[in-house]
Amino acid sequence: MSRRTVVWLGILAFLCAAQLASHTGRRSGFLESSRPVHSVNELLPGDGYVSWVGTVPVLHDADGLLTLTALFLGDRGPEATGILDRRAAYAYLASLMIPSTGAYTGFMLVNWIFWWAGAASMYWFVGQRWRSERLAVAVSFLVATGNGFVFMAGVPMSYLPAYASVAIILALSEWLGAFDRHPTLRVWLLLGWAAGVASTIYFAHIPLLIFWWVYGARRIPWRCLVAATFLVLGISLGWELVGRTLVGLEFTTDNSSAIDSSLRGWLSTVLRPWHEMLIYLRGGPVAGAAAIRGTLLSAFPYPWWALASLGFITSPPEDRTWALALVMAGLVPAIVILSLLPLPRGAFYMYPAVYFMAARGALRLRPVAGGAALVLLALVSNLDLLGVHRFVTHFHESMGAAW
Amino acid sequence: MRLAAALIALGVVARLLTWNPVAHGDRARHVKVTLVGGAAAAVVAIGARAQLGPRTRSPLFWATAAMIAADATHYGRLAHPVSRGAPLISVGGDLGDEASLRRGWDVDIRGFGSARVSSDSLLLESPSGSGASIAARVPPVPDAQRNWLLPVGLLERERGERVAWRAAIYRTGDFYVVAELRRLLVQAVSYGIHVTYPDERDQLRGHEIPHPAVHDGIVHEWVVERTPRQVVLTLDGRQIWSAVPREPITQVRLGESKTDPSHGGAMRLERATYAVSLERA
Repeated sequence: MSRRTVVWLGILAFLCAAQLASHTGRRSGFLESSRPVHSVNELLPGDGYVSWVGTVPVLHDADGLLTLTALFLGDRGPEATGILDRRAAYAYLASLMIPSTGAYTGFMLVNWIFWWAGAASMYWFVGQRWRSERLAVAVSFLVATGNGFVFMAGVPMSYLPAYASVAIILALSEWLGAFDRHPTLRVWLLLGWAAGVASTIYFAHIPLLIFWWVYGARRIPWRCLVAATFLVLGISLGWELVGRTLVGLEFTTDNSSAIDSSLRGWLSTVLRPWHEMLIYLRGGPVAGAAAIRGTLLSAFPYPWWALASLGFITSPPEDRTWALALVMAGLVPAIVILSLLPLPRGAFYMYPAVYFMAARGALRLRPVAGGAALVLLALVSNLDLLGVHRFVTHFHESMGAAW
Repeated sequence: MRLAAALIALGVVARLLTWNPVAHGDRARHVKVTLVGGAAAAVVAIGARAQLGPRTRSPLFWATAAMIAADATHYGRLAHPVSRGAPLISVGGDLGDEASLRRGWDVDIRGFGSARVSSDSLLLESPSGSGASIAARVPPVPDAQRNWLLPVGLLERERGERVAWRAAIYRTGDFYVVAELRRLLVQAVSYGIHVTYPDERDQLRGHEIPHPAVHDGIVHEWVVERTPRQVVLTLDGRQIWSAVPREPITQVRLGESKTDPSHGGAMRLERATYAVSLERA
């Protein structure tokens, strides 16, 4: 490993640590966005949808992971572990940290390691695949200052590690040569194993599966894709089986019912007259919340899209195909759930493509302008530190049909 | 990879064999958590082996990292003194010197009362209308929800308390408060001992116990012990009173705490202790 690489990896670690430290507790984007002043839910208290880890305010949903962590530490039984049993790997990893670091710090260390690993993975992946140090530096910089990462950094929940898992597994696929001309079944079983393990952190496996199939259907033997898919789903369902029967977890609720409701919503829309359906898709007064555009703009505000568009236009067809396949990986889950609720944090799974194209777009500008553009994106990610919470708010609650 | 597998197996078996009910809580739960931890370490090791090939030491490294992190908690809890029977809280000891008195107790003097430390004891004197007592400086019970290396028993086991003191009583008024343990009041009176404690309706109720020990002026061994089932007062090893406990003691005061004219006397204390322990059964 060259000295320059080591220095850059150190800078990435510092960037992630600094932004994480500046978004802990009350300054967490997720918690801030739940406060009534930003949220549609006016019934919440002034602190928002809040719970406490010691004296640190955190988003209330984190309670489920705290309970699971206590289970892994042997402090309690599996009763009423809550709604996050499918995301138990995050609690398990935290349980290895917490005794020596304290609860909140332990969760933050897990987040920091994953964030840095995600940025470092993109650095290696882009450098390896496109043989461009500048592009690798730019993309990893965008991951290390990414708006979705900053938003989720301070909350003890598995979103950030799940986002990072996508980058890590993209790098793994490059390391294994999964998309080379003649990949082996073994390689795809390894990828399936990795995505399956990631599924126990959160649903990073679904975007990965979509990407593999969209990008790989005409490149990879189907037996490889099918085997990997079965392995991913097998591990995901296997954990539920083991968790239920051997550990005694309840897996009380999940988002399956929400997905069902959303799909039913889509079906009823599709069965409407075509002009009503178009209005719905446009996100007009019929169903303002369902605006796809709003979801995407909330996941990545305009500056990212502007630069990514420039990068996309100037990219060769192969890179466009790769990026579009990754965009589908975030877009499809976001659309599936969209008729029930817009979920920018679900659409954010496409970030490797958007950040890659944005980095390429920035590098197409003059050097000073390109560098300034990248710094501008980092600043927008951190605007909440200056009291501007608009972007933070939208990452949680989609801007819907508004421009 | 074989080394990693051996390490995981050894670690899991060792954790199962070193289970301690106070340190680790319910056995079935401990077995589940240990097996899940071992399986998770195995997943990590197998993944490292699969990704990096057979000649790497990576599986051993990652398995060791996962196992050691969890072992630190397991053995940290096992090594904790509470797991081996030590009390959660222990205050007091001999009262023959000023330093040991001040270390565990606050001295409370009212009116013409006084507290004097001699070579082997503390003399609390409280003429009528005055007070002289010592109150235990009780530290907070360690919080196992903040310090995860504390035994799990702190979260789920019931606690017992023991207040013990060696003292000679010299009553001059109608009453002399020997001990005030929250709402448990032990007084020396003309016929012996008067104990006040809340009854099953939570109303304070008096109990008269004829006993010569408070008149003879010699040192006796007093002990109040509270378990989840009963609170007992023993004097020189003989139980003289008991009741169903209404609450934890948590507040310990020895000596005259009342300043009305009917109270007065003195007490020479040689030793006083207060301890909170986990119930072992």
